[in-house]
Formats: sequence, structure tokens, C-alpha cells
Amino acid sequence: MTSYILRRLLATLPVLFFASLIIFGMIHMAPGDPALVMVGGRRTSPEIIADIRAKYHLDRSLPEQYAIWLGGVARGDLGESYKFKQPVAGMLKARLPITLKLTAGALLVATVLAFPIGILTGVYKNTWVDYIGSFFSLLGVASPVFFTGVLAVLIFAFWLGWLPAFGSDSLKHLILPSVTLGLNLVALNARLIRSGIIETMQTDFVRTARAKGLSGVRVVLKHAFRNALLPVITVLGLQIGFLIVGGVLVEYTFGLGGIGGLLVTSVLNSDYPVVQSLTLLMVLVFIVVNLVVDIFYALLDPRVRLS
Amino acid sequence: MKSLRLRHTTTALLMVLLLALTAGCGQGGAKSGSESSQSSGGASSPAPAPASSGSQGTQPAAPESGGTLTVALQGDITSLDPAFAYDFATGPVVNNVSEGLLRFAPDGKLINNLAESWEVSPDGLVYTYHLRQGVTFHDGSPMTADDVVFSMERHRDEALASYVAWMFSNVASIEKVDDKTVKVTLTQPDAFWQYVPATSGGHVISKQYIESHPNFGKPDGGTMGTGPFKFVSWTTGSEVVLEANPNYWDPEAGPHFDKIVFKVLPEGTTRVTGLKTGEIQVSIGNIPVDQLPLVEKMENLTVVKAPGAMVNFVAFNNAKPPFNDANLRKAIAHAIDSQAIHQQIAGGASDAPRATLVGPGLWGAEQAAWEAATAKLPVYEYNLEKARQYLAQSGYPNGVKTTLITDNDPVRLNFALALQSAVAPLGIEIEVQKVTWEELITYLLGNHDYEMIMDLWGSDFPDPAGNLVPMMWSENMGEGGSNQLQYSNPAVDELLVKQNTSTDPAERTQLLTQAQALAAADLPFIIVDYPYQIAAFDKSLSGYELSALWYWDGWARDLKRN
Repeated sequence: MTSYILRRLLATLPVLFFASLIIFGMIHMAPGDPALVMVGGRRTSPEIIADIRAKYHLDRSLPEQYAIWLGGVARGDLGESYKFKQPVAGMLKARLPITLKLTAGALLVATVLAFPIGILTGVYKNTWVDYIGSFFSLLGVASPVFFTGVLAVLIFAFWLGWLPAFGSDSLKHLILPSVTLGLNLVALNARLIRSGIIETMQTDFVRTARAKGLSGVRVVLKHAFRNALLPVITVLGLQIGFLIVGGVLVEYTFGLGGIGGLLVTSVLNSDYPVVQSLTLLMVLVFIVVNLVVDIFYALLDPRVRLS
Repeated sequence: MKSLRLRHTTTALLMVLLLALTAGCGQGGAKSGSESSQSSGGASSPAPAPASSGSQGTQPAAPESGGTLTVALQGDITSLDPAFAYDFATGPVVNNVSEGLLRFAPDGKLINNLAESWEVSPDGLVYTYHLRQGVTFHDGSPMTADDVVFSMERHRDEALASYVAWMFSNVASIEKVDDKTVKVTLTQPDAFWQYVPATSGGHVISKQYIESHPNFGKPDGGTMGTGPFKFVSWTTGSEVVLEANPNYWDPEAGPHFDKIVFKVLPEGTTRVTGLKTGEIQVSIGNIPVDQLPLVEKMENLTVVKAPGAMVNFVAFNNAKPPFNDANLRKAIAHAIDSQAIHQQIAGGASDAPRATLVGPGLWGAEQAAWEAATAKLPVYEYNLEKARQYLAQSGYPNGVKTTLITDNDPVRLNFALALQSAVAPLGIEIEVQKVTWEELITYLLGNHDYEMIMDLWGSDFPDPAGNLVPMMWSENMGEGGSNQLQYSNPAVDELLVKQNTSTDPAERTQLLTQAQALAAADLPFIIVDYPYQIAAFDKSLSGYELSALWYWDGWARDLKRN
């Protein structure tokens, strides 16, 4: 097991390298002049612009700039934001907790809602329970987060005044953003659980359990559920990545200063060091989450052996 | 449309259901955030009682304890360093922490601040500032002439790339005369210089602090000024916290609050909701124009408007075809009903357009002369017949295909669409290219590679020249220059240069209004409107007078609870 994890971790290095190459190439192909952004879009002199280009190596060739950046990243130096003139690492550290809180909240919403809906619609497939559950979960996936978010603010903060409109000071503050973000995933997860339940309910061991005289509820929760869990674990892992990226608009709406908001601002500002580091971080998150999912998989399903 | 509305309601129902389910996990933790409880007061939303007042932490010996003030920002601040406090989020924070030698009165006049008095030599070259004695920085150390010289010299350091470096372009030297006096010598008379000490270019920071804090201005480096509020913390992307400076040199003026929390809220609907619930008590310059009618109806708020120094306008690129053709520009001007469109898209939020870059908010002390001169400007009224005549005389009698670049600001975008359909009967086809504000800036201050661009410009000084010189002086046409009209008229150049070397207000007004009239005859632009500065304060607040140049104000000093 340990050697497997080590090998997997080593294998991430080439992936990260190629990802960094692609990220660097793409952002430098995008329009926009960071030097002009750095002077604040204000009247200035060609000398000052030249000075800035030299300071941030923007006057070097692209391969040179890439080497300088990669060298820094390898040493743990993510560079300095063009706009905020702060070390990127510090900015990420300051903003990561909010993004993690939001992701956790959304994941919680996505699972807490998806399991009852999925199990119920699976057990009572093709009945009115199934239709209603499917209807609502599809509704969730069909509403884009920027729309649900503003709507949620209007209803629960503006009109009803039940929940705060923004911020992340307490759990209460996180309800609206988490629900907004998690709602999209409820449908997908519920469908997965539903088909998993339907499948396992038809297997021999469930029939055996039934024959033993176990109650329906016990059969579902103890036997069918556990087997329906596997595909969901895989998908949940991938969804963590989706949530971090998808949280961008939710952070914007609810005034949460997470890394999603930073990514948007930085793309707008041609703030190369920040965009590069953030994208690389997201690649890393995907890789690590995938690894964790694989390990969980082995723990849950004795047939899967990691070697 | 109908199905969309159905989705609204069903989503809402779903949310109620979800909330009922998730309420359990929320309630338990909510107790820790005591400040949030006041916001759930329901629809009637009483003025926020000072429930959140500073029982936590040390109670500064301020003249009165106004509790905590929560203020909405539309974006994160760039820096705590005055050198980069040059946008509508950063300025309103930084100006409360560090202050200039002078400040602007609401009518734009200069009043003394950290300088007790100042004078200018008869030749207009030497400005002498006599410093107020007994002023201390937030760490208790006294403000000295060395701090003043150091703080101003920083902007002239090219390596710093200060956003306001351009203000210092005619400065020859900044020297300490004695412990109480600082002398600024100019290379040539410069009418703009008088204002600089009232901007962030004149802010005084502790020299010792900057020298010992290499990360000065950043969240972990902080700042050290003399202002009514001290810097406490900056969580990037989320909030900036200030607290009262109990030793402020002018205790009669302020501060009146223990603490100010600035919240970064980029979404307009969220800011407006915060105002309604009382979670936000102050919103200056960032109420979305399309939601203004809603905000004005809220009973818990006082909405204040002041004519501004800014202008929304379509800049033709006057240096290259097709818009180097005055007849084509005038044909377009006559084809669009600018007055009616202004009423529709920004009626209560701005002054109506005239053929000048100078709106009423910039007239200041010379109001009478400017008003008279502006009344005499040609009016390019809506008249399709005239438009057709001008087009026939132009080099493009059958119309032209062109591109207009703008951002997604509601007023500008609506005007762009109106313009697009207004000129269609003339055979003029405008493609509207929508970019972000940041991209727009790289166009209009970059290499000026466009045919038409629509943007917003605001003078930094209570002076019409602050709009005329940057955009109409041919010297500013190059890359990085602010002449986004690419306008070059030797007669206008001469007037603009001449007024800048004069310090006589009446003479300057005379020269500037002449330049304004020449430009109006050339019509290098189409004016959209002159936006008001708009603020919403909780009803319980008063004391601060909003003005055109509020973005240089340490506004929180004057604000207090009734």
C-alpha cells in the first residue's frame, strides 16, 4: 500500500510538469499587457513601463520566462502578483480556508440531499416518489449557480431576511453559498445512487438477505447502500475539483474571498503569476483527490487490490 | 419567458425545502457569529442598533463610541500604500488611514490639513508648506518634515511605479527647509500642482516605518499614517478592518466609530441586499445604476447624490479613418437622440450630455463663467435630415462599417446598443465589441488601436483641466498616454499649455472655455452623460458631505451617528 502511494505520488511529477507547460503557454497567448495593468492603467512614461518589464522579466523570451517561473515554483516561490505586488503563496494561503469551507459545505449539501433522494427514488423506482425526486434533482442541475445564487440572496436575505447575504463569519453565513453550489451536484449524485440501488436490489445477495427475513430498511441501508456507494465515491472525488472551480461565481455573489474569486480577478488583470499558480494548484488538487479516491476504493471494496 | 418564470418559483420552493433540511447544521454554529444575528431582523429591517459595538477588544478613548461601521467595497483594495490607492475601492479605505498635507472642501477648495498653511512664490515655481505641529503617527511617533519629504519623494522613484507618479512630472525638487517647513520647487508653473498635496500623492507616511517594513502596504506589512483610523487587518478578497485612532490630531472632527469593517462585495445585488438588511451601512460610489430606484425607496437609507467630475463618452479615434472625418462624426451625433436616451438609461443618476468633456460637477468656484460658456456651445440635436446632409458631405456618403469597443457597464452598454440602432438608417454599421474594464483600459491607454471606444474618465482635481488636458492635449497621444480621442488641434494645444502655466483662476477659465468651444466645433466625441457620485448611508448616520472628489476624502472621519 505504502509503496503504491509513493509510486503514485512520483507519477504526479511529470503530469505537473506538462500541466505547467500548457498553463504557461496558454496564459501567455491570451491578449492583454501585464505591464500596462501594473501601472494601474494610468498615464505613465515609456521608461516606467520598461522598468516594470525588466523587473518582472517580461522583456525576456518566453522559454526564459518559463524557466524562471518553474525554477521559482520548484523552490516553493510562486512569484509576486503583478497587481497586488504580494507573494502569491501568501495570497493563496489567506484565501484557501474560505474555498475549503465552501467546498466542504457544498459537498455536504450534495451528499446529504443526494442520498435520501437517490435511495428513495431507487427503492420506489417508477412510482410517484421517483418522479418527484427526479424532477427536483434535475431542476437543481438545470439552474446555473450565478442564477441560483442571486435568487437565493433575493429570497432569503432581501425579502425574508432569514440569512445573511454575504460573508463567511459563521456557519449560518455559509448556508446560502453552500446550497447554491451544492445544488448542481445533487441531481448527478442522486441519479448515480438511484441506479446503484436499483442494480444491487436485483442481485442474489440482496434476495438472500430478504429471504433470511431481514427487514426492507435493513437490506437497503446495510447491503444495497454499501454497494451503491462505490461509484458515488469516485464521482465525489472528481466533484471536489469541480466545486473549487465552480465556486468562482458563488464566491463572487456572496462576497467570499476564496481562490475562485482571485482566479477571476487575476485573469482579468493579466496577473500571470497568480493565474499560473492557481491553475497548477487545481491540477494538483485533482491528482491528489484521485489518489485518495483510489485508496478509499480499496478500503471499501475488498476485490480491489492496490499493487 | 413563461417557462423561465416557472423555474424561478420552483427553484425557490426547492430552496425552502433544502433549507429546512440543512437548517440543523447551520443553527448550531451561528452562535459564534454574534454580529450576524442582527441582520435577520425581517423585512422591516430597523436601523442596525449598535449591537455590534466594540465590547470586544480595547475601547479607544474616542470622543464618542459609535460602534462598528460596515462599508461595502465593490472590489478588493490594491494596496495600503497611498502610491497605489488610486481606484474607487482602495482610495476610500486608505484615505482614512493616511492623510495629505491638504484636503478638498466639498466645493473643491483646498483646505489645510497636515500643513497648517502654505504659499506659492509669485513666479508660481516654489510651493512652501508649513507643517502642523504635534501630529503623531499611529505608533505615537511625531510627524516630521523628513517624513513629508520622504513620502512625496517616493512617487518620483521610477522603481516604485507609483500610480500617481505623473502628478510629479513638473517637480524639480522636494526639500526640507527646517523641521516645520517643506519646499517643493517646480521646473515650470503647473496649475495642477496645487491640488497634489490633497490627493494620495500628498499622503504622509512614517519614513521609519516604511524603511523597516519591506512589505509595507501589503496585508502583513500594514501602513503607518496619521489618519483618524488605524489599520488592523486585511484579509485579501474578503475584508479590511480599521479601528479608531484615539490620538487623532483633530478630535473635534472625528473619529466617531470604534471600528470600520470594509466588506469586499463584487456582486451589486448582494451590496444592495446588505443595505436593506442593515448588514451594510455605507455604500459610496458603488450602487448599481439599474438598482438605484430600488435603493432610493428603502426607508432605512439616506441616498445622497453629488454632481461628479466624471464623463461617460464615446471617443472617436480622430487620428485615422474613418473618424478623422468631422462630417462623419457630426452625422452620427445628429442621428442619435442623446437627451432622450440619457433620460431612459441614467435619468436620475447623471447630468444630461452637452458637447464637452466638462460636466457641471467640475465647474467649481468658476461656475458662472463655465455655465455661460457651456450654454453657448453648439448643440448637435437629434435630426436625421441634418445627419444625412453631413453624411453626404463626408467621405463616406454610403455609410461605413466600424467597431465600438466598450465594457459591460449598464449605462455604457445600453448607450452602445442605442447608438448602433440609431445610425443604422444612415447605412453606418457598428459592431459592438464588449470587453472587460481592464481590457478597455489597455486599449484606451495602450496603443490606441481602435476606431471608436466608449469609456469613463474622471478628473483627479476639482478643475475642468483635469478632463481637458489628459484627453485633448496632443502630447498625450502616444502609447500609455491618456488622449484616447487621439485628438490633435494646435489651437487647443496652445490654450491648454497656456492655462497650465497660469495661476489666475479667471484667466484659466477663459482659456479653458475657449479650448472647450474649439473642441465642441470639432466634435471629437459623443458625450453620454456626467455621472453623479451617489452614496447610501444608513438613516442613523450623518455628518459627511459627499462631493465630486469624495475619492480623495478621509470621509469616515466626519461621519457619525445622529
